[in-house]
Amino acid sequence: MGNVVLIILLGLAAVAGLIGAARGHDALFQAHAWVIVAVSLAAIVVLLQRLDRPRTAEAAEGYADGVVRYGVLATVFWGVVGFLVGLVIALQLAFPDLNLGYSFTSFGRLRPLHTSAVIFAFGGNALIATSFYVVQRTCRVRLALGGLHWFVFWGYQLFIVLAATGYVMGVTQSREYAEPEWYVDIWLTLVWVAYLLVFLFTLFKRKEPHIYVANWFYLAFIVTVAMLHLVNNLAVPVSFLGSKSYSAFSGVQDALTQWWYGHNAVGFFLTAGFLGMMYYFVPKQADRPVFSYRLSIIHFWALIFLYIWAGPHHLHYTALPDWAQTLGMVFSIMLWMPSWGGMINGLMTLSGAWDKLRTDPVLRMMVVAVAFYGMSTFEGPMMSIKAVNGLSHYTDWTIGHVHSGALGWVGMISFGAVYFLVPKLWNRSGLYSLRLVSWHVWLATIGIVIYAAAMWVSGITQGLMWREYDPNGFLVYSFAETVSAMHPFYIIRAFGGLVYISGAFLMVYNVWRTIKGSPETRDVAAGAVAPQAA
Amino acid sequence: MKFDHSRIEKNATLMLVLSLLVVSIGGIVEIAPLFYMQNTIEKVEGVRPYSPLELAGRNIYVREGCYNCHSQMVRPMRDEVERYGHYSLAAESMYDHPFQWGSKRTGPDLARVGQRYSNEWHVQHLVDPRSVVPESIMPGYRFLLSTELRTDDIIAHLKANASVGVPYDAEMIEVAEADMRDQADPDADWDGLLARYPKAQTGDFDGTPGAVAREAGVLAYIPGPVPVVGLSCYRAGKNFWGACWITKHCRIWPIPGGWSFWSSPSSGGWRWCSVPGPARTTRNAPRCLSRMIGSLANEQA
Repeated sequence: MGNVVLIILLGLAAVAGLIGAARGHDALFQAHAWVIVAVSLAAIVVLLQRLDRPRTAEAAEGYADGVVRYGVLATVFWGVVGFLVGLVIALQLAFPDLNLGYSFTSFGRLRPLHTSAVIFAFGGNALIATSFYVVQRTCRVRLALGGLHWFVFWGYQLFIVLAATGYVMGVTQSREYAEPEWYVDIWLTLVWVAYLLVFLFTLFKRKEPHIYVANWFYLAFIVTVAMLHLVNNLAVPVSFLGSKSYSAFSGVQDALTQWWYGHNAVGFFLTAGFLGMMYYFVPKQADRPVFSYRLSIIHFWALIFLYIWAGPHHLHYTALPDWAQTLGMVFSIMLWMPSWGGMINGLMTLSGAWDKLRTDPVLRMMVVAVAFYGMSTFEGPMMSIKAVNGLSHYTDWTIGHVHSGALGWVGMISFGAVYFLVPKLWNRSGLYSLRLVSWHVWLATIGIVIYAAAMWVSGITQGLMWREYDPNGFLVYSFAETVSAMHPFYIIRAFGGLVYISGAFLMVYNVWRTIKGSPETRDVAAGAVAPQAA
Repeated sequence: MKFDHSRIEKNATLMLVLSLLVVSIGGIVEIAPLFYMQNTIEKVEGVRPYSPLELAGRNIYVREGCYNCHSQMVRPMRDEVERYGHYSLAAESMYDHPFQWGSKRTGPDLARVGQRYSNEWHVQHLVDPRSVVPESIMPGYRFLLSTELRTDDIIAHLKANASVGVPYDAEMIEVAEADMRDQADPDADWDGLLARYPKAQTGDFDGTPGAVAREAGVLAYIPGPVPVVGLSCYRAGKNFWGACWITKHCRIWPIPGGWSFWSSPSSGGWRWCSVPGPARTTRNAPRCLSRMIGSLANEQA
C-alpha cells in the first residue's frame, strides 16, 4: 500500500522533472531536471519489482538497521569518492596541466566537489547512519515515524547527486560549503526537517528515562545545521525555472553570514555530530563508561554556546568591523577549553583500559581520532589570534589545519565507527582482518602527518615570502615567485593524501570481506550471535 | 534551589529548545548589528551597481569558482597595500550578492587588478596562463573564448538584484540588454551607458569583433568600479582608520600597526613607500620622501 502511494508520488516527481526539462530557463537547470526524471523513474522500477515481494521481518519490528547498513555503505563509498577527488585537485595544484582545459575538470569546479563530497557525502552519511544506530540503542526503541528514515537516506543521496553534478556543470552560489543553488537547498531543507522529526520522535518514545549524552550532541547538530542552512542560503532566484540566484545579503553582511555558517559547518556538522559519535562508540569499544558525566554537561553547553561566535575569525583584517573581528577571536580562544574538555572526556574514558590499545586497532583508530581532535582544536584558536592570522590567512596553513581536523578527527572517528558497526549490522563474529585495520590506522596517521606538515611549511613559507622586504624597503618576491616555491610542498601533500587514501582502500576491502563473510564467521553469526533486535 | 541537569536530560523538547536558544545568541549579537550600525559601511563616492556586462562577467567568476583561489579583499598591511593597492573597504562590495572576498590566495588578490594589464594580456592569460606567467598553476580557460555570452536574460538578473536591494532603476533595467551589447561594442554610442554606470570600461574586450564572447564579461567585470575607489583617496570621515590626507604631490594612508603609507607620483607612475610611525602627523614626510628618493637613486644607478 505504502509503496503504491510512493510510486504515484515518484511519478509526479518525474512529470515535474519533465516540465522543468522542457521549460527550464537555462541548460544547467534542464540538466538537473533530467536528473530528477532519471532518479524518479529508476526508483519506480525498483519499487515495482518489490510490490509482490513480502515485507521482511526487519521492516516490521526490532531496530531499523536496514537504513544504518545502507548508510554505512554510503559512508564508505562517498568517502573514497571524496578522497579521490581531493587527490586529483591536490595533483592539479602541483601539475596544472591536469586541469585538462575542460570546464568540468578545472580546479575551481572540482574543489567544491571535493569539500562537499567529504563533508556532506562522507561525513553526512556517517552522521545520519550512526545517529540512527545510536538513538535506537540508547533509547531502546525502533526509529519513529514508520519508514520516514528511508526518505531521509535516499533524499540525502539525491541532494548529494544534485550538488555534485551541479558543481561540475557550474551551478554554484560560491558560498563555501554551501555552494548548491536555491532549489537544491530547498530539497535539503525538506530532507533535514524529516531527519529532525525522525530523531526527535524517537527520543520522545524512548524507554530510557535519560537522554544519553551522544544524543544531545546529535540533536544540537541537527537543529543548528537547520538554522545555519536556512539563514545562509536566503536568496532570490532569477527565475523559478532557472539555476541562478542572488544572495539576500551583500558585501560585509553576506561575508559574516557565510562564515557564521562556514565555521559552524565545522562546529556543528564536523564537531558536535562527531562528538556524538565519540560519546557512544569510544565507551562501547573500550567497554568503559564515559569518564565524567559533569564534564560532558559542561562540554556540551559550553561547546555549542561558544562555537557559534567563532565565525568572524575567518574575516580578520578584512572590511568587517573591528569589534566583530575581536569578538570572533576572543570566543575562538575560549572555545579551546570546551574542546579540550571533550577530548579529555573521550581519552580518559579509556582509564583502566589503556592496555586495549595494544590489542584493539579499532579502539586505536578512535583514540588517534580524538588526539587529532585535540591537536586541531588547539591549532584553531591559535590561528584565530589576529597576529597569527595575519600570517596564516590566505595560505596553505589553513588548508593543513582543516585537514588535520577532517582527515584526523572526522575521518578516523568515522572509520572507527564503521569498523565497529559492520560486524554488528551484518551479524558477523568480527571483522575480516584486524591486521588490515592496524595498517589502516598507521597509513591514515602517517598520511595526515605528511599532509599537515607539508601545508604548515608551505603556508608559513608563503606567508613570510609575501611580507619580506629588502633593506631598501622593497618587496623581495613577486607573487609568481611565491607560487613556484610551493611546488615541492604540493607534491609532498599529494603524496600524504595518497597514503591516506590507500588506508581507505584497505577499509573498503576489509568491509567488503567482512560483509561477504567466510563460512566460519557466517556459522557463528547464525548460531552464537542473537539478532540485533535484542 | 539546586540546579539539576537531569530535568533537561529527561525532556527532549526542553533540550531542543534550550539548544536552539544557546546557539542563536552568538549569531544575533554578531550579525544583526551589521545591518543597523551606520559605521559598518563607510560612505565612499564612486561606488555604483555593476553594469549589465560587469554583472554577467561577475557571474562567470562565480560559476568557474575563481573565489577558490583568489581573494578580493586587500588587508590593511604594509605588504598587501604595496602589492595590491589600497586596502579594501566595506563599501566596495556593498552591491556584491554574494560577496567574493575569498579565503585563499593560491593566486593573487584580484580586487584591484583591473586596468593593470591590457585586454590582450587578460585574454592570453585566461586561455593559457603559463604563456604569460610561467610559474602560474592556474587552469586554462580556453573554453570561455569559444562560448558566447548570453544576453537575453540579463533583465531578469537585474530585477533579481534590485529585489535584494541593488539600486537599479527602471531605466537601467529596461535598457539592460542594449547596455550589455554596447559596452563590448567598439562602435557603439556609450554616452547613455556611461551616464548610468560612470567610468565603466568600454570597447572590444576579447579581440573577437562581432559576437560577444564570455571573456568580454570577465574582463569588463575585473576593471569594474572597484579600482575607481581604490586609486582615488577616499574621505573616511569618522572611520577609525583615521583621516586621509592628500596634497598635490603626496598621498598618505594610515595603516593599522603604526605604519603610514605614502605614495607620490613620479615619472614611472605612482611610487609607493611606507614608513613606521603614526599616520596623522606630517613628521614622517621627510623620511618618506628621502626613502623614495633613495630608492629612485638606487634604480638609476
